[in-house]
Amino acid sequence: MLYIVNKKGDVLRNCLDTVSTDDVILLIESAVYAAVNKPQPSVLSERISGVAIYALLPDMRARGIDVARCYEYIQYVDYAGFVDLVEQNNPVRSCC
Amino acid sequence: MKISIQINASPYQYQAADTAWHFIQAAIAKGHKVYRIFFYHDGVYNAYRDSRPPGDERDIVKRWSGLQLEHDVDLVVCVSSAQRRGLLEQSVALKVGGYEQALSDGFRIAGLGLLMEAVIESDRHITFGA
Repeated sequence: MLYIVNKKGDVLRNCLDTVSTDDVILLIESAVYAAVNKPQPSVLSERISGVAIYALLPDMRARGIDVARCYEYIQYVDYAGFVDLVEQNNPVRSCC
Repeated sequence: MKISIQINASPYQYQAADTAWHFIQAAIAKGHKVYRIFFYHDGVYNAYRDSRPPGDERDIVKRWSGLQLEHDVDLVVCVSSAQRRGLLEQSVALKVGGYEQALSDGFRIAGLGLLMEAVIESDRHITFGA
């Protein structure tokens, strides 16, 4: 399942409580702040085994977030990559 | 891939309409078909004809109308969400005395049946919300 998450607080926490192996999480809009681990670690500090986490690069750039400040295991996509994730995963759940 | 979209948030206040727009552009560029966009809850304001953003800003409402014209995407506004917010179909407005030109070009008003149909008919259904 692909989880599309657009907020970093309880919405993301609830998603992290729900995911299981082979699920994919895409952080969009304000959820991309959760990718940042410096100076303070975020809710993503403990990596979930078997769950890939992506962040939407245009939303990171819009918020001035440098990839160098983010967890190394996070992968990045643009909107074309967003479409690919939707194509590769079924079902898709929007968490907003 | 046949995709349907649901937008639950008003334009300009939330990013949902813009995220959906960029996603749709990327999907169309890759050759996918966007079957229907269902505007629900405050998302119905995406259809408001009298929206007048400053000239140097994106015009979200006109952008949707253009998408319908260019790519034949079905733009459906939820009837009960719209009526609660005073966006009436012309025939209803004539009957109850409301504003007759509330909806921008290319949008139509319908019920949740068309949301269900979109979910069933599409390979993927993506919701963008507040």
